[in-house]
Amino acid sequence: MISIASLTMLYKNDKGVKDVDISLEDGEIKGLLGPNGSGKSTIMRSFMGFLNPSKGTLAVNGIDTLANPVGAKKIIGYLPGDPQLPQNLTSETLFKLGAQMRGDSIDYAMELAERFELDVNQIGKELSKGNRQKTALILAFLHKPQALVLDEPTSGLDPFHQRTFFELVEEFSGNGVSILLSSHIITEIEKITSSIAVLKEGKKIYDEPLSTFKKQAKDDGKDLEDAFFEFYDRKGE
Amino acid sequence: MFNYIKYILSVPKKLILTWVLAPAVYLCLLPLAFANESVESILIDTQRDAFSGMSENDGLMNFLGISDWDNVFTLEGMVTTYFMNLFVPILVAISTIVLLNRMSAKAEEDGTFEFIASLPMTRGTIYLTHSIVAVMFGIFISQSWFHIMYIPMATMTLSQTMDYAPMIQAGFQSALGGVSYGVLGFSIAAYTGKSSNGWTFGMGLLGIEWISNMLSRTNDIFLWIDENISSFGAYGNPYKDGLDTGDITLVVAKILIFLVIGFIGFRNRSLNLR
Repeated sequence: MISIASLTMLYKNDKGVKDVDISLEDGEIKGLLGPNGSGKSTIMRSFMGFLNPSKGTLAVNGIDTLANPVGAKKIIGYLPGDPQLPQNLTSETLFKLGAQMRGDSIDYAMELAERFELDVNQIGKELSKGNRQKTALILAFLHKPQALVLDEPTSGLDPFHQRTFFELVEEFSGNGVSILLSSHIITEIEKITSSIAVLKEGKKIYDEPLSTFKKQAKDDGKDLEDAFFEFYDRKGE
Repeated sequence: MFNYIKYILSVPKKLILTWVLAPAVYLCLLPLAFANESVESILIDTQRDAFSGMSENDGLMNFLGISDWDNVFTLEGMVTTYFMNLFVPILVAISTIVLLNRMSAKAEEDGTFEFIASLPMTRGTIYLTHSIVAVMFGIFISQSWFHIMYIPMATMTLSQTMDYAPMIQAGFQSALGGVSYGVLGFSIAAYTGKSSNGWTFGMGLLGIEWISNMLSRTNDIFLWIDENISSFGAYGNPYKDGLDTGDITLVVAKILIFLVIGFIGFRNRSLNLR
C-alpha cells in the first residue's frame, strides 16, 4: 500500500507540488497523468526520499519512506524518468549490486532479462535507449518489491517489450503489489491502470477509478484521449 | 557498505589506474636521473647551471617553496622539497575531487546517482562510504607512487639514493595535506550538490594556503595562516625529522571538520537531480 498525504515540495522557482494526496491499495495500479512539469517526477522523487518536502507524510506498507528509508527502499522498486547508468558496468554487474544490497540473488533479474531479450553483458555506454530502459526496469523489479514507483516506464521500449512490461505489471498487481506509474499518454495508461490521478501545475485535479473516467467519456460520446484533453483544458479555465 | 565500496571502486576503474600509474612513471625519472655520475652531470648539473639565475629571485624561490637552491639538485632535495611539498598535495587534491565528484555531486547532476539513491542505504551510509574513499584514495595513490619510485632505488646502483622509511613517512605527510583539500572539495560538493563548488572550495583553499606559505615571511596574516591552519605549513621536513604529531593532528582535525560540514548539508538537502 502506498500513501502520500498532504505532500508539498516546492523548488526555488516556486514550482513543484502543493498539498497532493494519493493513495494506492494493495494490487492497485494508479496512473499519474499530466504534462511535463506538472509534478509527476517530483511526487515520485519525494516519495523515494530524494527530495526534501516541506510538508507531507509518505509511507509504503506503513513504513515512513523519509524516517525509515532503508526499510522502505527494501520493498520499493523504483524506475527513474530518464535512467542514467554507469558507462563502464554491464547490466549484470548492476543487477548483482541491486540484488546484493537487498540480500537477494540475481536469478530473477536474469529471468527478466531473458523475457525482455536483454544482453546482460553489454556495458552502459553500449546500451541503446531501449536497452537502458530495460536494464533500469529490471533493476526496479529484481527484488520482487511490494510497491513499485515507475516514472514513464515504457519510454524507449518497442511495442513488443511494452507488451512484456504490461504483462509483468499485471503479474505483480495480481500478487498484491501497489504500482504507481506516470505517463503523459492516456492510451498507455488505459491499458494497465485501475485508477488515474491527474496533475496540473503541481496540484491534483482528478483522482478516480479509470472506469469512472471511461464512463464519463462514453456518456459524452468522446474517445478517451479527446475526453481527457477536454477535461484537462476545462480544469485550467 | 562493502558492496557499495566495491561499486565505487569499479565504476572509475580506469581513472584510478591512471592516477596510480601515470605520476609514478614520471616519479621514476627522478631516481633514474641519478643512474650514475655522467647521467647526473648531464641531467642535473646542466640544469643547475642553466637555472642558477632563479636562485637570486626570492619571489620565485618562495613560490616553489625552495629555501636551499643547491639542495634542490640532490635526489633527496628534489623529492622532499618541491615535489612532496607542492606537487603531491596538488595531485592528491585534484584526483580526490575528480573521483569523489564522479561518485557524488557529478553523479547527481548527470543522473547516475538516482540508481544509487534508490538502493536501501541511508544518506549517512552513502556519505560515510564516500568519506572513507575520499580519505584513503589520496593516501593510497601517493603511496603507490613512492613505492613504484623506490623500485629503481632498491634495485639499481645510483649515484644518490634515499632511505625507504623516511621517504614513505614524508610521502604520507604530504598526501595528508592533499587529502585535506580534496576532502574539502568533496564535502562542499556534497553539501551543495554542485560539483563546481567542490573545485572552487577545494582548489581555492589549496591556493590560499599555498600563497600564505610563499608569503609567510612578508606578512603577519600569511604567517599566522601558515603556522596555525595551513596544511602546507604543517609539512615541515618529515624526511629528516620524522612525523610530527602536532602537524598530523592539525591536518586530520581539518579533514574531520570538513567531513562533518559536508554530512550536515548532504543529510538534509534534496538531491540535485536533473
